[in-house]
Amino acid sequence: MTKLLRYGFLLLLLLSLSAAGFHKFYVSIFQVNYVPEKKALQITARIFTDDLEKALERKVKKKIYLATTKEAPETEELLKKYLTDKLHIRINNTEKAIRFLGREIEDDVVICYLTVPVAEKITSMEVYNTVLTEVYPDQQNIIHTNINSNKKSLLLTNSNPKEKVEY
Amino acid sequence: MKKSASVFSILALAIPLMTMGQDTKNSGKREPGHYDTNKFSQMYTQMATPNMFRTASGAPGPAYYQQQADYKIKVELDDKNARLSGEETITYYNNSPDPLDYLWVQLDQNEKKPDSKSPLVENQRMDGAMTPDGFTKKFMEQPFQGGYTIEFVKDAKGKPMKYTINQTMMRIDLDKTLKKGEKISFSIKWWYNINNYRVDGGRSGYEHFEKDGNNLYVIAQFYPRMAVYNDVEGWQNMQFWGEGEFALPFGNFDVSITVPADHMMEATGELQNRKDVFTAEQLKRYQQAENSYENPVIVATQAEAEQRSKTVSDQKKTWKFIATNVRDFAFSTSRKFIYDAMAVKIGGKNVMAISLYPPEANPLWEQYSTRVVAHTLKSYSSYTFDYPYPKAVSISAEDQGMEYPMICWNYGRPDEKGFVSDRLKYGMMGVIIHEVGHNFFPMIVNSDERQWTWMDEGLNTFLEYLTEQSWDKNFPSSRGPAAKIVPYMSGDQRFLEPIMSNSETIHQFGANAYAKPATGLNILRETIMGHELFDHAFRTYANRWKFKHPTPEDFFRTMEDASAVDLDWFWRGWFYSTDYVDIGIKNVKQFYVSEEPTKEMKDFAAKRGRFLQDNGPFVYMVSDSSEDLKPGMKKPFGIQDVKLLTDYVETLSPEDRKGLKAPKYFYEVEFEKPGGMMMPIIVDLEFEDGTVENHVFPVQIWRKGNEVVKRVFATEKPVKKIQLDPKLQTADIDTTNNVWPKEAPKSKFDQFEKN
Repeated sequence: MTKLLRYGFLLLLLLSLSAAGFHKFYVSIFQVNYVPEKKALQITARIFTDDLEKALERKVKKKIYLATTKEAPETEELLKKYLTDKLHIRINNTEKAIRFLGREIEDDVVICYLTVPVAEKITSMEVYNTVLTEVYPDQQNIIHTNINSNKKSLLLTNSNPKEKVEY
Repeated sequence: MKKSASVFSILALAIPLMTMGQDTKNSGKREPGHYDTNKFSQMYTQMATPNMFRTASGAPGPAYYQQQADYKIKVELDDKNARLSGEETITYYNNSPDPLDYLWVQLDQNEKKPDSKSPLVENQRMDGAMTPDGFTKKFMEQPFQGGYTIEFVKDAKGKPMKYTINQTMMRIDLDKTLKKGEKISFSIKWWYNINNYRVDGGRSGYEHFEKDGNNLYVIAQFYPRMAVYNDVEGWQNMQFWGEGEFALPFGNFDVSITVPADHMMEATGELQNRKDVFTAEQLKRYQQAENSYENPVIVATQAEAEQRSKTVSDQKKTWKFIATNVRDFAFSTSRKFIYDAMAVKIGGKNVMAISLYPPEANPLWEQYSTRVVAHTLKSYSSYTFDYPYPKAVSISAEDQGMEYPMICWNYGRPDEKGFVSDRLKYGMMGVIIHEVGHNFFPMIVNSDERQWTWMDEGLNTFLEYLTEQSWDKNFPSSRGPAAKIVPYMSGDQRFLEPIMSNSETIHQFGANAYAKPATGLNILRETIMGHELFDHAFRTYANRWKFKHPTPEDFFRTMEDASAVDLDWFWRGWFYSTDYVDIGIKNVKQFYVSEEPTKEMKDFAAKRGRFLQDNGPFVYMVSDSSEDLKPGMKKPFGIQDVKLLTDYVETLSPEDRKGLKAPKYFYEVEFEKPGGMMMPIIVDLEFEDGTVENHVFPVQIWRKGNEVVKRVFATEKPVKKIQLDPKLQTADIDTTNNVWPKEAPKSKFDQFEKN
């Protein structure tokens, strides 16, 4: 196991190149909606549980048993910090604070609920997202945005971690 | 009764015709014509033309043929240097009508050659941060010295044959043309270094255990293999780049494998010399297992495996296997293996379910692996055909999930403290079901994986879903239910390809080639065709093409041919395009019954042509938004309030009168279809008293290429709510338009904010 973790970075790069009968793919999906009644962005992040666990365990260098009966008590704090570290949103060129509301499990995916208060009219939004890219160089983070009925999707990767949408 | 009915039906037809006429008048420019773009059209141009090899019904035709390749192989494992060397004789039968001047042989190991082109076609970028070993491996170390060394290729008389290697394909030129019905034998001697698949990747290789220094080998694609020659591709010699798996002809295998004497092994085929390689005690236990139908019997115990793992034998043993009518051969060997087995009755025949795993895989594997193998064989057999092979083996190999005839590699072990999370347990069971299931697709129903990943992965993932659910009704299956494909199908079109795309060109491989086709079949079974018609058609496909090579059209055609359900619209939308489902409720109107003509009807009567001579009398339907709606009209319909109807009903016989329904509320619902993929309209009417009435309108309701469609409902109770697709059966990507009156979507955010 220690060897596996040492090799981790490299290994995962290679594994992601070699498909198998049972396929692993590295994609997270983020839905970002502006909700006028709440004057806020609501963000739903769908991330594979095992991938997220690997990323968090790297930070604390111990097992956390994410989303199991043995989950480490500091996991929630760790997850909050991880997401606010890796996900940044700028509205009209100003960085906004992201609030972590909660999470739930659906099959092999953790769904995180985040919100960003936005009082002003949105003329531009920049999303920076490096969730899991430090673990999986091939990680794709797909961001679906729906701002004032304007739908746009972004594909953010390690080499292209941020994009801006103008409205 | 008869007369008034005919008048109403003419009225109903006439109104849309009139409005259409007005539309044409108003638009200034004449529209150009167009080709047939109707999504229900038969797919004559997209599908290959039926012929003598493959019929229009989806069955093998009278001229269908397939090639055969028999192998006699001797291999030896050098455990110390992780090297495999072998010599094989291939006997190749040309059953095709075509003369062959050369043969193509697959050299899959060359994908791992230092000069392989596979890594050169990958997108690269500079990592911002690298571990020291990662940096060293990437920029300083020599690459893994993989790939075949071919020592010779000789004909049956021992004369060297001329060959040319192009990456992972080797062309052998024949001195004499191999004609129809002829066979040829030739031999190849080779060796290669086995890759540590956890470091260098790959579907086979070895796993190294630091603790005791042992390797666990999962060996496949290890011998030069004949490529497929057929009526569709000629030679299928598309290179092995790493993503698209294999295309292989059927044949018979006689394989001898020499390994250290303290190894335990399993492989494709039947073991010929069990008494030479098992201890007396193990032989006895194996015989017990052959009669144990309830529980697995441990044939080689954990204590024995641990004992074997402590030392390294310098003796060798040769294991001999014979496999009949298989498309491939693989084996797994290690001194770490525990071995358990049980018998499964399939169609009156005994099949052995077997698992091999290292002590690190317990407590999980002993409890589940073999039982899951047995369940999978029964479940898949019930949907296809009786499993025809004598055994199915599950090997514990970390990070793997890979299938071969009768044997497969599966991940999932407890952590070092022995903890097993539900996620890991279900992940391990799911992968075993999936990989054992691959025996049916593509090992027996032998599709071309190099070209079409979905043909085996999609069909297999579909049966995996059914098998998981019958193993445990709470099995967290992530692929199968319609709603679970929505995040993929609602994604950005730039990153979506039709399922009918080549394996190497797909962005989201798992969703495209596994989940989407599996979900499509599930929707056909649950919503479009029903279990009986679907299961019969699916079974027909499996039986028509077992031990043969089907194409996508053979599948599509058989599913229609055996069910009388026209599915061209489904194949076109779900398999040949990236269209998505989005059906919504556009408008709902309530109507009240009146004896007074509405303004609209008066005008209409004035414009009526000579075909509508009949002046009534009529009852009139007044909508809730009409200016003719007078106070007092807004009440439930009762026949006693409308004299015209009361009078009419009195003319009926008492028996006819008894059978009359008593509707009180009338609604017209307009459905729209923002999505390009069609589906039946499934509607629940929920009444104020909480009861529900379900209506299903077949997909043909969209057959005229219409974007909207209206339906009228007459009910005895007031409708409180109309819900489209209430059980999420259609993969509708936007459900916010599925309900009337409009509801704010239930927000998890509100729920979390409250807490």
